[in-house]
Amino acid sequence: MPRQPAKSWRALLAELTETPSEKQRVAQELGIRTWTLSKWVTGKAAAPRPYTLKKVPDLFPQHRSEMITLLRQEFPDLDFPQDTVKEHEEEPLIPIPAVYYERHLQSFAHNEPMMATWSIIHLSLIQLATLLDADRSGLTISVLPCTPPRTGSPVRSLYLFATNSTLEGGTTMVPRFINFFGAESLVGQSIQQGSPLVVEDFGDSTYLNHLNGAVSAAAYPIQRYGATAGCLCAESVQAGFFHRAQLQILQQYADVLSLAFRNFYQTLALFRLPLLAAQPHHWPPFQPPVAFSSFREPGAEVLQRLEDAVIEGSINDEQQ
Amino acid sequence: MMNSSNTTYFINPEDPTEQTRLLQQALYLTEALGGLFPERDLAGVTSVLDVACGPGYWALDLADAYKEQGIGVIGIDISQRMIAYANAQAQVRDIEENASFLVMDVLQPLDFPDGQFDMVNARFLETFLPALRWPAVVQECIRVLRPGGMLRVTTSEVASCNYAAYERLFQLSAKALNLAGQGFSHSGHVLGVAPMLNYFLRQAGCIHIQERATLLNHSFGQPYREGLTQNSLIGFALLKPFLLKFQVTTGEEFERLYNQAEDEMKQEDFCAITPLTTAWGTKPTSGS
Repeated sequence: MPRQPAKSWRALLAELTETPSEKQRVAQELGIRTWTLSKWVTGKAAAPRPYTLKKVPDLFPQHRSEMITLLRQEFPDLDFPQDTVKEHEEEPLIPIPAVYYERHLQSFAHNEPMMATWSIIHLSLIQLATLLDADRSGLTISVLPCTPPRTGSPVRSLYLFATNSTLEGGTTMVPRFINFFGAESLVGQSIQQGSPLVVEDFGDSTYLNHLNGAVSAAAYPIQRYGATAGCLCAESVQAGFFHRAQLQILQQYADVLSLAFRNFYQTLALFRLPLLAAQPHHWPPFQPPVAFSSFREPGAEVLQRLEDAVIEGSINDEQQ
Repeated sequence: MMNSSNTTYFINPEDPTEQTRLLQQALYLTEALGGLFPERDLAGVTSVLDVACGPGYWALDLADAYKEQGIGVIGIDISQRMIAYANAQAQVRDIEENASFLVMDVLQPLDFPDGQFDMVNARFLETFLPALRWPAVVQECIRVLRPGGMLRVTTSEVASCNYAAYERLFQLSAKALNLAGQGFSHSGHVLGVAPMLNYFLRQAGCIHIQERATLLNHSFGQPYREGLTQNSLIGFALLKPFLLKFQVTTGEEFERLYNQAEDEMKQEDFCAITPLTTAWGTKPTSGS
């Protein structure tokens, strides 16, 4: 018997998430609980956030158009940034020259480990700027390692290690101070969920602690066999900047960057951290003025003490 | 096939980290030097040669910036890996039409006819060029310039600093380079190439010679500070085998100085400056 068209997006969602496994998959992809999904279906929950709703059609490729049509009936103002992705589907993928990969493999095989880390990270950022933004339209690409946790404890945050920007005057690759990113941020959510996240417009999202001026972004966890070392993040000053070819490149470089790290973590429990501008208020007096003057990663102990201070400061702020 | 393992370059030019270091340095160097070619406008220029171009950043940026004007840039370097990388970059940036890179040893006669280029650019030749070979190399650059064309040479001197270990590492580098025959200093504390540039250009027959100094400030709070200090430390780490080869330090002393320099750079009153000198001159036309 031919399938009857669904009358609402909620009805279609109910139909498509009929099985528990499918319901679990969709909830996981959307970053919500299964009971929240059930409430959406029954209409007992408040309207989902636009940012989350926008993700729904892409979870059902075979019913994508139908879902968008039904969603627009209830939310006529909702635009679907994934349409942008679709428009670019035919764009040719950007080939990464073999010599680009070769350098990373050489560093990995022949350089002293700390130097290899520095070289692979910085060369990746330089190569990515060329591959993703040859026109220098305003892209900032960053590598954020997990802040090393104390033995037996979960990862609580990431920190900005190196960044490269095609923005005017933004090419300095070494951050001046240590900035931590937690569950409030796109990069934090990406590693917590263990999957890439793309934001077409931060205005429609609740993420905090992206770079000043960033409108869209893509975050890719740096992983090895399911354990996480950090995150690769690209942020653009243009809405909907990232399309399929660019996202594929970012995934490939997240894989390349796994060569740069030695510590991968299984357990993550990210804290919600204060805004970047507020973090220095929580630093203890021992914070050195410049943490990255050397190419070597800051010591785990220094990072942990700073992270402690920022987290404790954040908790105190909330209690007041 | 050319073998870059015999190069006099003070760091192994095939080392992938050295390539990354040069690329990172290029991100602020061109800006610090006032742009790609601040000495003159490029009206009428159609062909440029970049000597010892490394991974080709300057040449690629020039070719990209002047794509519409049809300027063609050729970069040459002894390192096959650097050249392969530079050509790949040209492909990715879609400027293969006007940027190309060739493996060539600057210490040998260049494989170009007389008068092929409107401009020749050469930066940091002191990193590999024996002092005695400077006159011949400058002369060769002039040979491939057309009459009226311009040769521009940029060189660096070791940094001076208010902290002991960081400054000492630069002094050791100068000492080793002088022992390797790549400096002009009698004391060995500096390289001494900068004062020679004007002389070399004059000897090669250049006219309208000019010089300009640029200061790269590594001090706390300065715009390129983090990149410069990080780049210096990577450079020292790569330079270690060269310093040990010329016995200007021991492995133990190097490690001690290196660790101390890392600590020094974290101090708020840390101050250091690397002076750069650019000299340029014109190849005379028959009437000049």
